[in-house]
Amino acid sequence: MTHMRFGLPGPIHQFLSTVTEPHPAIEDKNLRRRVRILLRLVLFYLITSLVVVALVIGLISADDLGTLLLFLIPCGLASILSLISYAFARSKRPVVAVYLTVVIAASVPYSAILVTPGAADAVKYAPLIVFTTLISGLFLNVRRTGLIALVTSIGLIGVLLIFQSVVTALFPDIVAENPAAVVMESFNFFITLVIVIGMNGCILLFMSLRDQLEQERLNERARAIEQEQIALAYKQADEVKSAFLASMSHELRTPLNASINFTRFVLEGDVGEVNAQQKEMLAEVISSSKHLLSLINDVLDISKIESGSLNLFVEEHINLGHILQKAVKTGSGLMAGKSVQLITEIPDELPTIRGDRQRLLQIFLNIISNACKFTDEGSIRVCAEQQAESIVIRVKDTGPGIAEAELPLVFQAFKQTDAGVRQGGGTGLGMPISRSLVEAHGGTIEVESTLGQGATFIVRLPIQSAQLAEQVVLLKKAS
Amino acid sequence: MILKDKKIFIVEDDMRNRVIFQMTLIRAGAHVDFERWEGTSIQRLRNSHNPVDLIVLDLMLPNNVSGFTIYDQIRSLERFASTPVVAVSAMDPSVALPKAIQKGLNGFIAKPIDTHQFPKQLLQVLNGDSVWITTYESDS
Repeated sequence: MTHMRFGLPGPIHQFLSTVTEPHPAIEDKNLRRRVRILLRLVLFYLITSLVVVALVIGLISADDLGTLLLFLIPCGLASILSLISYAFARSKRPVVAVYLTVVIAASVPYSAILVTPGAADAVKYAPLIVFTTLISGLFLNVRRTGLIALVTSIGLIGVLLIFQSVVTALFPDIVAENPAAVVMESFNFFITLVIVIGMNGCILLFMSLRDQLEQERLNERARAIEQEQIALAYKQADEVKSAFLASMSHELRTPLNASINFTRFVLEGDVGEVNAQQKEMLAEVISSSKHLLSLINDVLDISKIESGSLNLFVEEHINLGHILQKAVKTGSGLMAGKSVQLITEIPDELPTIRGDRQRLLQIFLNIISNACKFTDEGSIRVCAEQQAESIVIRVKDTGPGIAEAELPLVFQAFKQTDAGVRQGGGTGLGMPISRSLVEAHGGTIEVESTLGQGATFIVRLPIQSAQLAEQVVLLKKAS
Repeated sequence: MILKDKKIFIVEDDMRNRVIFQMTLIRAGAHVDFERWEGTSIQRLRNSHNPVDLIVLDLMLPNNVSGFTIYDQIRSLERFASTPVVAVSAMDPSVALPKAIQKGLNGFIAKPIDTHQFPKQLLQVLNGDSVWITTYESDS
């Protein structure tokens, strides 16, 4: 199929491909294509000039030496130049061939004008000068092409002027007898110049337009590459962060395993008697270690949330009521000595939901223990109800409340409210983590409060969260 | 003594953790044996002919050996083809647990372990159930 391109018979096309094959060191595909065009042009000039040389030698007798040389010198020169140009075009530096070919292309109209006897005929060859612009336009930039167009056009004017003066000098009689012919001559000359300049201008215009488009394409590609690199850098940074978090998680929890459990063995009398005061202190070590563990977990959680690598462990049929009761039980442990009533209104017929059991407990432990921490008297009411496809859980306390200006800070990481700071408790990460966990379940969390009149946290969780449907982990249940 | 006479084999490189496992499980009546970690494989488990009821497996072992690789080695031994294996690790559960489920382990328990719950959790596995514990939960 490829052999039949341009309608050329296979063997000829193959031969043409072989003789117009650019140097293998030229790798750019686009440049190779241009060099191939250049090679064909050069071959064309070579063959035509050789044909003319052959014709001249064959048709003009050696007696008429003046005419013979007049044709033979330019055509022979053109053949030699074409041959050199061909050699350059097939070398590693084809651009030299471009300049040589421009010279050949310019020499054709120049010599044609100089050897043609009639002025009106001679001027016809002038537009051929445009080939020089076309050839250089194929390889060189707009500025160089423009320069070449200028030089060859000026050369053309020069050649025409020489021709005119030669004609005037040789045939003064004709000029004197027929002034109209001179006028026509000048008019032809003028029109030819206009054509040449116009054609050159068009070529240059197209070239600059092409260059602009090319530049835009290159810019676009550069931008795309840059964005790709930025994305890659982010991804790598994320991977480093994740690896660091994974190892951090391991390194921080391992010593806590030892400190909590060794203390426990001692506290529980496994390694000898402990007195009441020692027990009290050891219990404090354990509770502090657990506190440290929960802080570490919070920091690791928030890092995972920030890097978007928080994974849920999703199960079906989770009894939210049990989870709320468990959170309330833990919360009540925090209120020893306070006269605060803890009221729960959790209906038994609440439907089970899809979610991460441990994360749901974490959400409500955060909210309820927060309420217990801040409320010194009055009550904390935990109620749940089904509303359409969701379960709505409200935790309402009679604590100091949150100023309106501070409400947006409640769910923001690394920003604690004034009250939170005064209370001096925790990292302030509990609520931001809770919000992310609720949102990961496809739910919402909000807070309503007036300063001095307590606060209400409202969590709305979908019963069959669609965004978790894909993540359900099937637990292997042995029968 | 809920684990009375149960034979539990533990793959763990950290000395402190070994002591914790030992004290916790002996208190529950179990017999405990350990892989004494040398090199990169489970020489002792492979060569021992003592019966094993359950294997506890750490997931991050020295020389960058993953517990999941060790799990495959254990399962490739015919006599341990159906012995329950529980991973006990301080690795991030959100990474380790899905992999443990996918690999077919019988349980995952996050470190720090709760020494009161731990024997009960292992008993659950010995009874044919699976356990997935992602956080430290105290019974107090």
